[in-house]
Amino acid sequence: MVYVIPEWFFGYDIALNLLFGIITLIVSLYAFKVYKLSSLKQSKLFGLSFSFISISYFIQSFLTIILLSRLHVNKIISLASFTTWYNLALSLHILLFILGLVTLVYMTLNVNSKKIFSMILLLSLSTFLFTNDALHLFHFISAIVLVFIFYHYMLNLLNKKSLKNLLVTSSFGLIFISRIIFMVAVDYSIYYVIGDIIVLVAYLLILINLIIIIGKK
Amino acid sequence: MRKRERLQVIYDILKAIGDKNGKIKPTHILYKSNLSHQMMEEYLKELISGNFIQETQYNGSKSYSLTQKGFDYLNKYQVINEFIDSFGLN
Repeated sequence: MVYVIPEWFFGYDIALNLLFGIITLIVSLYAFKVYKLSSLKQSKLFGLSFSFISISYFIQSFLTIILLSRLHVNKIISLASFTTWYNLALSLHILLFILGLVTLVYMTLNVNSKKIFSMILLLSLSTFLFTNDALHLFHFISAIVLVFIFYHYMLNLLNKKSLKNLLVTSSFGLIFISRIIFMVAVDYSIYYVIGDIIVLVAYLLILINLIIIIGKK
Repeated sequence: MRKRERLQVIYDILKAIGDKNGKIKPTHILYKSNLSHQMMEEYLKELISGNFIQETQYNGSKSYSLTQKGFDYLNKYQVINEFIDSFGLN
């Protein structure tokens, strides 16, 4: 499973993934702070989900950096070794990203059942055992889970129309759209760039929302 | 009850305690929080177990006081509320 990333975008891709990791880490840390203050379970789940997503971006970035540095030092690296490292990075990214999304969708269900959480997670991950096209499947499953997450935030926005709710709802809508674009990007490299830019806008909206909230202290 | 309403009730109870210089009797909480006696008892239990307040007994009568966590909740209530609202944690 390999993306077709434009050569000129490779460095930007690593930088963007690091940025996504940092933004999601900041959001997760703040969610844990709110949990510490309020003891609200939903806040802990939200923090956990963003932690998983954050780690998924960091792992992908760092393993790609290691791979590139090895390539730079040795100049020669076997295709098998390259593919192994790349697939390891991508597999860990997929696993943690799905875990993050499943935790988030479980939070939106507002139920207290480990069975339901386990079932959603197993259904989401087990399908990867039966495919040779993990990337398409990853984006497809992410998109399905994101539909439910987006629906939750849409209801939240309709329930209370405010700029902050609009920012968060829009960001999850954009992340959903990016998943669809990434599905095309497996075959057409330019769509990967467009997808990454849409994700950047989405995370920036989430960050702006957090800054507005913290700024009111 | 929605989470935000629940958080509002918790805020009302803690504020009632805070307004009485951090120490209050259950009858005052009942009056200020506008809850049934049973609901108030449940909230007080939850707040004690969550370390937001502490219960003291003197001559057979109970009183409640805020812990540091309780004070922090009161101070950061607006931020907590807005975070929970906008990130759909209710």
